[in-house]
Amino acid sequence: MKGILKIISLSLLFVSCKKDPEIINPATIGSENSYEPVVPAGWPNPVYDFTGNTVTYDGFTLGRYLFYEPMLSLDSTISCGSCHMQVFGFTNGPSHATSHGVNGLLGKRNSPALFNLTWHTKIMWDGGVNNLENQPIGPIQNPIEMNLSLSNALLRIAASSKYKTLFKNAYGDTVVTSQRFLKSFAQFMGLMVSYNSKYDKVKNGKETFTAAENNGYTVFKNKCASCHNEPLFSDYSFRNNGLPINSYQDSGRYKITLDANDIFRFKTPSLRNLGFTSPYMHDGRFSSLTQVLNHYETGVSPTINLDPLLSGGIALSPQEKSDLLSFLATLNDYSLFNDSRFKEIH
Amino acid sequence: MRKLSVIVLFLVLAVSCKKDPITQSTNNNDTGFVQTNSVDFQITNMVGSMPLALNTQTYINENLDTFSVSLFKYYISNIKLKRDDGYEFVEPESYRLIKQNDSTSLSFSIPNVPLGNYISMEFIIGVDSLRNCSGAQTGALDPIHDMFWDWAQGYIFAKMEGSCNASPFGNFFQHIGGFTGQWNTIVKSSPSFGTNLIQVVSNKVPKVMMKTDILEWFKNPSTIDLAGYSSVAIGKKAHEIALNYADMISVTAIVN
Repeated sequence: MKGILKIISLSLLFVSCKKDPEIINPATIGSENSYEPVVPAGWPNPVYDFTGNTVTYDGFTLGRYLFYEPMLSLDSTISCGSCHMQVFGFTNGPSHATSHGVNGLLGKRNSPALFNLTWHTKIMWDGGVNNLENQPIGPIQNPIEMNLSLSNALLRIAASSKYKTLFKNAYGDTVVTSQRFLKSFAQFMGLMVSYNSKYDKVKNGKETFTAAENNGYTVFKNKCASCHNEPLFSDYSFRNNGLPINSYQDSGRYKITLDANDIFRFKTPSLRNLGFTSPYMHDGRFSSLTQVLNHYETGVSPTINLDPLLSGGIALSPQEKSDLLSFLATLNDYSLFNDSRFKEIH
Repeated sequence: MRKLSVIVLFLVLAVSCKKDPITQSTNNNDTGFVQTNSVDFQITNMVGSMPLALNTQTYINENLDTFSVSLFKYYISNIKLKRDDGYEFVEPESYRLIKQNDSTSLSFSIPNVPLGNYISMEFIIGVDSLRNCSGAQTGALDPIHDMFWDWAQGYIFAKMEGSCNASPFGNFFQHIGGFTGQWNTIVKSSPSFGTNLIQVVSNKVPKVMMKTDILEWFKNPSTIDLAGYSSVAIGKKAHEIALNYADMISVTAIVN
């Protein structure tokens, strides 16, 4: 009995000590300065819904500092933002097919673009991460990425006076825990929602497609939408899209599930923001979208577990390709990658 | 809001300072106050009949491999205790990491167990699937304990590392985990109390003495050869070892 009452009184204390909710100005909700998670009209419910991790300005800001913090790599040279640059749709940019780690080490996969992450059922190309909150542990500890143990990362953060202030602002005291660290990361990354492309404006009746864009939309619906379905432009399933096997022999999803049916399967990426995120495919082998379309037209290789939808390739006339490229350009969201909330900070 | 909370808190505090009413729960649907006490547990990691000694001692497993152990740790979670009247006590937030190199982890106490005679217990060796995908955790499940895979995310349920001349590099690393699919390693354990029982009474804390025999890790149903199993992570080998160690924990005595 005493125990139960103690719990009740403790939880009341907790409630009474919480910051009053006025910190988010309702007038800014929906604008660039809002820290309220956005679910655009007509979209499915996100998989990660911030239950138990209410976004606050201070929690998000801590996540932003951490995202751009080079101390989280062994030699303090690389931050998350090094391979996820805002100007390139939070990828490593056009000159890096695969990610770069400490000591000039090269990864085996293309740094994925970061947006609409709360809708991913599994994170990473192979789906090895099942909850957005724990995602940062992977690249921080990976020997060919940031190469620092989570414990050491937390010790470094705890020793920094800057982070003492940031943790106090976000959580009321300076105690650094992995849970606070990870939840702030999730607040920062989870708010990267891309929903302001021309396509979205057309859907909202604010703009109209050109004839070429409209024709491309038809091609998309007939030939691409079974995997890259609207409005996220991916079903986030794992598929083998028939790329000839690269020198890494990367088996993809199989490494996680050890199910032979998953050999060579990778997560279907979204078609949003392709204008920012070259090169393409899980290993960044294609530098242009024309190469990507050529692959689907004539380059599909019959490796094991090839997605049945791609056997024989996708017939695309030169006109259809041209129209498709026009349509894909309407999926570029210029606002997210200029959004001041996500800019580099130190 | 704050003022109101303070007032409510004050009232609750005042109530909690009153003597607990002496009401004995006689059936599990009773919503009245239930008198409780703690149950203590003590685990000894053993190799057959000898207490496990890290690094200094060599042992022989079922496959007749000679080996020593440098690291041994595992999760126990979701402890349930069954009372003689059918009531089942389910410990909330029941996650413990047992580490041979940390004697404080080898004993623990379960609070708030309703009074009565408990005839059996059940727990998971490992972590339930839900907590493997519930995001950032604390306490025993904090990922800083080096029991969390960052690449195929989920908990390492049990780890044994050591030396063995039979294995290719003279050592072995067996990290057992995986919470889904055909190589799932979540195993339940319900060590027998024999004719004994745990008597939870108001004036004395009972103590359950348990032993974990690491020889069980290497046998029944699969005999593990350390040459072929020198490096184990998720997959078939981990699954086999988990089925082996499902019965490694037994109750040796209950002191009421």
